Amino acid sequence: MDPVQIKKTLTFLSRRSPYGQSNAKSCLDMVLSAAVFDQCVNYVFMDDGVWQLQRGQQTAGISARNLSAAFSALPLYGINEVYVDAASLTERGLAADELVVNVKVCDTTQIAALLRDSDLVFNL
Amino acid sequence: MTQTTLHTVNKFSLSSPALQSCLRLVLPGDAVLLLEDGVYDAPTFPDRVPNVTFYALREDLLARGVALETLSDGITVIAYPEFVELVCHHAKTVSWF
Repeated sequence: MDPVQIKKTLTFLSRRSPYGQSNAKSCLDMVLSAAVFDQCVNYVFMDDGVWQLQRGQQTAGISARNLSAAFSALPLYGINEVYVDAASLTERGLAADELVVNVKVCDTTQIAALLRDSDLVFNL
Repeated sequence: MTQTTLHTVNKFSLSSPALQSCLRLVLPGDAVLLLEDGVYDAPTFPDRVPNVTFYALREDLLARGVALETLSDGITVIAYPEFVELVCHHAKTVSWF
């Protein structure tokens, strides 16, 4: 007997910087898992999370895996668009067109709407 | 029917951007619950956002010595049973930590 197919809209709000704590990597792993299980995934970067998208990360010196390199594989998982909070970019002096992947820049209202329209929100 | 959200914040505003980011993203009908270290913000919590209800968890206020009399009318003190009710009442819970 086939298992029941459950499809939900899951929003992952990634708000922490890439290195020094594991939240960013955990979030990415959950995003990919959700995508593999055919869920509708919104991947949103906010606050320090936008640092994950910074270009030119060379992590060999800190013995860490380059997190930003993984983002180019997102389309392979069916995730063709990631969302970024405009205010978080501005606060940190980052420009949307200088990030490691193409992003959809959203204002506060748009992100709030994304949260409201989701079945579940993972905030880390 | 609009789906409302319960937001929980467990960090003090000077230690983490959690509260600030949460308040940016709340929508009318949502609720915000301060718990754990988030209750340190309860005394300075005026009515910041219209149509959003604010709560603070009694057990955490008491544990940290935050005097309940110092809280404004804009914030409602609740205990764990009401916390559970809030979780059940709103369509989903978003934890800010």
